[in-house]
Amino acid sequence: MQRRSSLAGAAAALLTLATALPARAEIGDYLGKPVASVRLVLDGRDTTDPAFVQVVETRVGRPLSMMEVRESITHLFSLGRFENVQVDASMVAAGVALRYDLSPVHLVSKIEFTGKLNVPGIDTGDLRRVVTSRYGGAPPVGRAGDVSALLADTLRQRGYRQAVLKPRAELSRESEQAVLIFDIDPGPRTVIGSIEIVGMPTVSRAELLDRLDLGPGKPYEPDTLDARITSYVDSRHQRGYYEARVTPTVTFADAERVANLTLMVAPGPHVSVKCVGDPLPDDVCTELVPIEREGSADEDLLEDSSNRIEEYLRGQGYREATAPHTRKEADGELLITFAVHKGPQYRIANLEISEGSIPRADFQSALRLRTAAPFSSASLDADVATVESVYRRQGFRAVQVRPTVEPLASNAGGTQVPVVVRITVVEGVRTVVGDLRIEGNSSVSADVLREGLQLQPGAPFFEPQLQNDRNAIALRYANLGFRTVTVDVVPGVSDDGTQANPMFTIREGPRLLLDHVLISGNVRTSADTIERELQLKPGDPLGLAAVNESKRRISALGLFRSVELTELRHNAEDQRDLLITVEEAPPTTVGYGGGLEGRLRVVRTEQDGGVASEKFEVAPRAFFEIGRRNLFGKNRSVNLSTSVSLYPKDSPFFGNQVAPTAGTTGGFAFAEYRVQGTFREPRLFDTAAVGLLTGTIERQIRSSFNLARRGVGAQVARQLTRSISLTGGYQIQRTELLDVSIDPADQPLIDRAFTQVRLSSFSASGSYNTRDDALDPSTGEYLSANGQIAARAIGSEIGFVKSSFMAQAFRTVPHTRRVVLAGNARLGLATGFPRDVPVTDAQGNPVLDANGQQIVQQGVRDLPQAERFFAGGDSTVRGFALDRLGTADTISQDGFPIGGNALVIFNGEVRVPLFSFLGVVAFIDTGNVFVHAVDVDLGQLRSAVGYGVRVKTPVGPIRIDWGYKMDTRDGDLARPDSFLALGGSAVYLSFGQAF
Amino acid sequence: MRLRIANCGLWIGRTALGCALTLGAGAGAAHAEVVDRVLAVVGGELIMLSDVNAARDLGLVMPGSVGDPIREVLSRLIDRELQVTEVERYAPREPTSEEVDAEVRIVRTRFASQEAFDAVLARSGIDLQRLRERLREDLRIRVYLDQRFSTAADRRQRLIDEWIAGLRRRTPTIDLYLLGG
Repeated sequence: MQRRSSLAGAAAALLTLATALPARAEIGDYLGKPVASVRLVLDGRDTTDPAFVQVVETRVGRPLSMMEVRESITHLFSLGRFENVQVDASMVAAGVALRYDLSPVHLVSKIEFTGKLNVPGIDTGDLRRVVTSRYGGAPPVGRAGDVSALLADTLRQRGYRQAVLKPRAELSRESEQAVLIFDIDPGPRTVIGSIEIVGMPTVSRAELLDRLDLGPGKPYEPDTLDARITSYVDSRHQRGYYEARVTPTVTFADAERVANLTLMVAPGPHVSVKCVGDPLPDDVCTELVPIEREGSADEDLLEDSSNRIEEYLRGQGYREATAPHTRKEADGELLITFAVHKGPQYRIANLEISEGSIPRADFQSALRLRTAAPFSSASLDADVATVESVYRRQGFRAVQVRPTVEPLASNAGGTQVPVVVRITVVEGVRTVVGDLRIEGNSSVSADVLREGLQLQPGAPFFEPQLQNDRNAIALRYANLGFRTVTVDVVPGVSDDGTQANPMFTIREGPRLLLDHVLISGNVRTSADTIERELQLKPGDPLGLAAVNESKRRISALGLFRSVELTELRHNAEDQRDLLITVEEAPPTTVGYGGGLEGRLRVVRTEQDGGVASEKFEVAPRAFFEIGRRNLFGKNRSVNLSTSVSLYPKDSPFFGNQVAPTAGTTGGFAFAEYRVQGTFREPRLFDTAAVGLLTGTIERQIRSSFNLARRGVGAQVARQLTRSISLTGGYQIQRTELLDVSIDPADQPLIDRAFTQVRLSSFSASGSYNTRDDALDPSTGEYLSANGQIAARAIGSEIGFVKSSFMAQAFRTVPHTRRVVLAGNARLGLATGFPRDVPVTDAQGNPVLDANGQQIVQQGVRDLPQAERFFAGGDSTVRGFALDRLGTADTISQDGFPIGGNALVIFNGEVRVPLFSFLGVVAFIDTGNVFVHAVDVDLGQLRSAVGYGVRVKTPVGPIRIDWGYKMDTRDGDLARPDSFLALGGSAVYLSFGQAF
Repeated sequence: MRLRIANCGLWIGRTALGCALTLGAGAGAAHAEVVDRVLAVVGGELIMLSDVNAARDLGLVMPGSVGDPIREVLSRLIDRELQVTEVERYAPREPTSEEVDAEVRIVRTRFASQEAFDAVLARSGIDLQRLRERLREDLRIRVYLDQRFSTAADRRQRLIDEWIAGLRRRTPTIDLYLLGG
């Protein structure tokens, strides 16, 4: 009875379940019903992140559509944030409640192996390394299938041909990480059964098997076997047995538990090569007969080698050159002999080209054949092609160019044969473009399309250009979103061939529109920052150029390691989503480095009564930079850069500027330093202009003074085009002169009155830059103009206007291996605003007039010393010590530079690369510094010539230059105290090109 | 011994009834149904549960009667996607619209009525245009295979299988179904 009641209970339960099950709806039951709610659940918690919500297409109130569900899943998944997206639906009173379950991407933090691992040949560390070397240290869990296949392949190479792997993942909700576990059943290991050796190895069977580590019962590991065979064969090749081969074949038995090997061994003969007959340099023979390089001596290679020798000689005018080869094998030696026969050398006595519509002068420079040069058939063929091409471009479609070569009588010995080369041009009819017809276009007018074509009515008809124009039309359409456009073209040449009426037939196809922009991978960067760079927005045609330009601009932000733009297919065939996947670069950048700088400087010596002398100093330099980019996700950045150079403590640049004589001590001390902080706003006030705020503290060593400067500035920069940029700014700074070397009696009054000066100025500059490389250009131009105005009205203690102009040009010499000619011109002009300056004496005491009042000099126009122009040194006129160049008025009586208000510099340089890392230069520099702009006199320019060495590094060239003054004048200093005491010379060791 | 069995039967009956009532009550309330989900990603293209259902319901892929039908259809769809990507690179002959129409007709005839056909499309989240596109891709694959593997019938399938295996090796594929369905 009890049992019966229990069975009844079970039956009732089944009945209850049976009646409950129909409450579960089929998918079809949900469709068309209104969406009552949409929940997004990320890792078990509801999320309303707009980045997710806005790409969900199923909206509350709208009928549920599977198309929109699929669309939403695609969007969400494309964000790259989720490993899986699942949509659940349930019936509620108001309709259908949708739940998007988002599983975040779990990266594998650990890989574990379980199963039968204690078998020979399986090393879990090795398996782990195989995975990480292919998929990195943290592959997504979703790659488990690929990882599993890789591991199965690895086990197969270890002899486990029937291994079974079962992957599973243990996900962590807290850390979005996962442990990937592979349960391995390696199955039986395949071992080697029999080994048959076919052929005649040069070593014994036992030694061969030992070299290949083979033997019955050993595991069959195909990769390892291949590697050992390759190693063995390579060793034979290195000994001259180029035809040595070992080819394994394997047959399996006993359900692949046993591998029976057959090794086909071909030892091959010992090979040697000779070029006999007419002389051919050994290195040329080796180059043209690449038996050693190829590790082969097969007949094809020998045939090619014969041809190469013959082509080489024919290129030198030996038209009848032959180089047949023979193989002679005896006693295991194969001697390959190339019998070189040059025959007579043909030289061009005359090159005649029949007159045609196109003057010979138009293509003469492109011809390879030259009178008196060796005759070469290959060059003749190239010239025929050149002439044909020139005529065809001018509309002569059917031009025929026929060459003939007429040998003349040879010289007495028969070694030289002059030839007359005649090129006969049969022009045929010239075809010009008549009417350009376009059909099938509905989105772009024919007139607009015609404007973009190179072929125009009346112009010569050139068929390849027709294809270019066809491509241009297709590209124009692609840029408008017609990605599947096809353009067919027929030339439409008239019967008499005088006119072509090309017809372009366009099938536009659907126009793709941008539906959604999905951005993925941006953790710190705001989506706005990326979207701002997009050249298209939802609803726009998906133009090819716009997509490419968007990618370029996003990459140019400098925030990302990689940027990928992917067009995602859509349920709607004419719509695409654009997925932007970025990989952010580290937000903090740190850079540091060090090096040496050497230059010739002006110092005061005690021996000669305190006059200037020159000293070569080498100083260690170091820099450190730290930056934080992408502040607030808006691509703003802040940087701090510091640099310092150390100078010997006994250097004369400290204190009194007097060169030490005896009893000096060693060691280094800080001499120059610079600390600069910069804040960069890439889109100032939401414009295309870049804003910069800078603060600087620095100390510089000059020749006749040192200075300490503190300043702040603000700049606005705008790149107008790729090559043109404008900059404007304001700066305020305080400069203090230290260690002034110039005798006070020689100092301009302004320097005595202002040992410290506050300057407040506005500046503006423009530049035009087409250089291919800012650090080491080989082509392009650089032009710049700068203007600066400082005035008391804006808080400056001294007013002046200052301008500088620079023009540079770089050209690679044609037909050279990147020999570069470089030229540079600089002009600097400045004048001060007149002001009254109290007069002081050499000791700084006021100079009084008869009434006891300090005398005031009116209308002083001088600039403060730190703002004046100086020349001489590694980047101006080499051959002169730093700042040491000047006219008599800009050099003090003791020989120290005072500086001037005008500067003229010209540099010319030829840069010759010798190796990939090393080059040499020769240069001529000329220039001078003048007191006032009106004093500029080109007759007073001083020149120096010299040479230098450039060592290329990834960050620019290291430079060593020697400069020699081309003349000497009163006041010039000979080098007094250096092993480089080459009279009238200066040496520099620095970084980067001189200009 | 009999007593123990009888008691055990009573316990089973009560427990089953309790569970069934609970489950039945739960089922009677809102029960969530998986509408769609991602099953695999092949070269960046998603294959969803609705794709598997569509392929099966439209008769584009016929699973065998044994094993896991989702697994079988999904594997076939993964292979198909690999082939589509490869075929796109070589642009074989474009099928005519008549050929595509004929394929659509074949699919349509598998259904007793237009309503049934439309219902399957709606359940699958694709429209007729998308179906045409899919069938067009199938035709292009067929043309490509005929071009590339125009060899003897006995070797053809083996060569195709090797080719697909190569595609699998070099195309990044995420098989989410493999990791627990």
